[in-house]
Amino acid sequence: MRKVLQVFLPAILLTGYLILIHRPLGSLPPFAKFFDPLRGFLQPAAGFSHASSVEMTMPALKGSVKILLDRRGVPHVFAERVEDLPAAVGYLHACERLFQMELIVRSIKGRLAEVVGARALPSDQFFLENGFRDAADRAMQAADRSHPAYRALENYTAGVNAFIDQLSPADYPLEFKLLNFTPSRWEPQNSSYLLKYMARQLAWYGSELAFDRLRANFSAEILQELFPVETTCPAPIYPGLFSSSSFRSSFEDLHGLCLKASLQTKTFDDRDAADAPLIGSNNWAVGAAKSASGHSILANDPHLSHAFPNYWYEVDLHAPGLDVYGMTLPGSPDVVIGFNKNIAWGATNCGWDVLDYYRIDVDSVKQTAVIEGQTEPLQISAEKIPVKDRAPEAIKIRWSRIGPVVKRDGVDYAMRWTGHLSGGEWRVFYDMNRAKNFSDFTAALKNYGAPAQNFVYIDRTGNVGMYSAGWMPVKTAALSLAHGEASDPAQAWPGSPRADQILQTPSPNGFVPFEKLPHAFNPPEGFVESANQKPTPDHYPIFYNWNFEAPYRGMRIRELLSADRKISIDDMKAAQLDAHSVVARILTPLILQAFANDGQASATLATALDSLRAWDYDFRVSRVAPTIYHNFCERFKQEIWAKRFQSASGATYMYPPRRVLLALAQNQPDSKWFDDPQTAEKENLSARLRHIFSASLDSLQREFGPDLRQWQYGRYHQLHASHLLQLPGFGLAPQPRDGEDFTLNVAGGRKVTHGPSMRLVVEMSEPIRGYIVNFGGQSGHPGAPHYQDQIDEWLAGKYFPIRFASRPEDLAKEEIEETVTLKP
Amino acid sequence: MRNLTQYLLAIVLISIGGILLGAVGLALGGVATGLLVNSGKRGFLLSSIIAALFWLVAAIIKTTSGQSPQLLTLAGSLANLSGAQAWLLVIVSSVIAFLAGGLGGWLGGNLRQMSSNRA
Repeated sequence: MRKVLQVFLPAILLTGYLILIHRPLGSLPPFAKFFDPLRGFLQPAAGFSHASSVEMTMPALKGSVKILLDRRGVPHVFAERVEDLPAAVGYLHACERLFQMELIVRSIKGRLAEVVGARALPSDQFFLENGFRDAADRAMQAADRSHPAYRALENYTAGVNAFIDQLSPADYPLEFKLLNFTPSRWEPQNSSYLLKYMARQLAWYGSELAFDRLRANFSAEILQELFPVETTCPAPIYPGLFSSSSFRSSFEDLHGLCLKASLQTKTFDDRDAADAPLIGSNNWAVGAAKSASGHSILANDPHLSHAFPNYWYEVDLHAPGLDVYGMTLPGSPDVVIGFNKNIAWGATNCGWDVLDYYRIDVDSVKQTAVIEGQTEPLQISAEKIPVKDRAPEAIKIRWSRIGPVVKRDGVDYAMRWTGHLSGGEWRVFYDMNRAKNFSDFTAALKNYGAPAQNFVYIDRTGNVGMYSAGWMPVKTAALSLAHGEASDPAQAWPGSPRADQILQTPSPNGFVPFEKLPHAFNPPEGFVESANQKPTPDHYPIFYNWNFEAPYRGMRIRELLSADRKISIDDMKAAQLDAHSVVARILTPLILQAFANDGQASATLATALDSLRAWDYDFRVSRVAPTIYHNFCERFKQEIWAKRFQSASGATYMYPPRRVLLALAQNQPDSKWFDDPQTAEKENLSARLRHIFSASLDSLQREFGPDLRQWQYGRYHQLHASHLLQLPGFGLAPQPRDGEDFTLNVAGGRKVTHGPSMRLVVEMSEPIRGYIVNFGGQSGHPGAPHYQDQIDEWLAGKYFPIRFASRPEDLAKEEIEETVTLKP
Repeated sequence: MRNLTQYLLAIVLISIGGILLGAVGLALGGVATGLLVNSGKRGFLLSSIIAALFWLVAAIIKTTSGQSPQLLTLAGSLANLSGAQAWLLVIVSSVIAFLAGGLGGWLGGNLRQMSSNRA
């Protein structure tokens, strides 16, 4: 017995121990795998080996592909056959961004909780209930499979899977090891998930439910005054839209009818976002006549949330019939922002209201709903969301003819969103990458649906243009300012008879025809710009949102470009880094004026006012005045609205837009809104400015001490960027950051978490000159050399010259870090 | 001389096991070492030390090249370990190997002893 025990005891202990260290312990990965120095956290993810030369086979290829990786990890890809380029891009994306791609796909498919656990359940429920996955699947089912762009998606898929197939568990990116799961194989529809993910980021605006909540607590007069429909924009994207006689005449008959319809206001969005900084962007371009070099120049910096890895992956692609350079989104094969040998393009977000809610009467027993007076069945699918370490969560996904049926505040709504519709987005960038002129460019954009974007354009012949493309629903302001009623047939879009009536022309799907969307080509001022502001002048007859991103960035671009001089590449770069605030220029004199007759100022107050007086309204990290101004502004907005837009239970309603507060301060200093409802006295703007400014100085003194020289903006206003999984240490330590919400070099809020995701300037000269910097770097692998290798340059406002190499020989040996050859 | 041969063989077996199969390989290498030395106690001692040293040396070699130093820092930050403290993870790694190899060696040694006694 003792001898048996001598064997069984160690055998049992060994078996138990091995089982224990091979199982995840709570949220921790299995120790045996994770701590194995040859397979675990110390083993870098499979990526580029940084060996000088690597050769591998990929059966999906038809010819060989040579990839030269430069010192920033940017691949210069030379394929013998053009159809092999997507496979090469798929391989590169998988190599550097596999976890990011997996995360996006899992988000849309509602499969995050399967690998992350129950904390991701709300996200999975949101994406499934709101129809993202179903819409993406339908979009791909509707795609023309014989189109070369679809074949490109298939080749891209083959490239991604070729990389996944060669991986052993030791090669998985660190995040897979931490979460203890294996990469999923890629499918063509995953690219559609990526598009829906971006549409969620950029076009999920709809204020009506927030307006409904406001309407329940505030009078119509108050809403009219504080939440007015933005009709006049001081710097629209297309100020001369109607100077073209043909464009004007196409709208003349419609003007009265549509504007009248659009001002039947009710409204608001699900993000409660009138006051929140929107995710925006800047782009502008000058034509040959306005350019110092005589060649058109384009600048684009898309503003997105900061994270590692960043959204963008830079590529230089060459094959017979195609030479294109620019930024791709991992998950899709084409260049989204960039240039080819003939044209360059960029994009900013339109911010149209393309999400509407219709209250709907649902019979949950019969699973029917009343739509336009008819009782119709709902499509209901019961599913289970797998959850790591837990039983699956049951979920019901409900679809009506209008769109997904969701519950908000206990009420059923059918949702209509352009992002749910099946369009031709999957082929837009394929066509755009091959465009040779404005005609090709706009032909590509005709297939674009969502998220609507302002596409800027320049070309080799010195032309400049802008086209706001996407589905613009024909609807009244009513659908933006309050929920609609599913039972009312007049309110529905698309396919509504109302759309044809408003346009007085057949309107496919109830959208504004492509030709009638706002656009400009070689405008008289010689340049175009967009910064998410309202695109159109007053008399554009279609209602498409009640509120837009504030126009101040657009005003600043116009200010810089309108100067009576020619614009160079350096001017474009300087403008992207411009930290001058038009709003500060308006508001600071009002603050100083409020203290004009105050002879009893304390030393701190006097110094602070002196600092503001000497300020040039530039938000630079070394200055003190921006700290004083910014902290005051945050308090000012809060003090004016918080006491009025907060319910007894503490819930906060949507605040009025900032344009309204600024207009009140400029034009109505005795407005009742400046009175503090909690005091007996009646205050005006001046009294509130004095009080709030003094309180703001007190708070800064408490935080930074009495010496104002220590209040540099860089100590107060900092960039925060984390890893996609918010893993501590995988992000970036807080960094001093120039700019504010309304500067071109945008950096909203005090804790800056979004801003330029990359900066690009391109001149269509011969050869093409371009400069670029990506937030972070090319690699998605924490610890890899190109994970954050561009962040110092990004922070310092520096750029890297673009190497648009037509042939491998164009790149010098010292520029190349690694050569990869893919063979069929 | 016989001991030296045993030690060298043990090093080879445990290392090959670790390279091929990770912690399971260390344990199997330990079992083989135990069988070799014909003692549970010696099997445990020899295998645990070799296995721990193998993962320790492998980790040290790793962390002196390529991306691994950054990966060590990153993994350390996950466990709230800063700077040199991140090396605690390498120690944990060695402890895991120590037990895997040691338990294997103990089992192997006892197995051999039992079969020898029967014979």
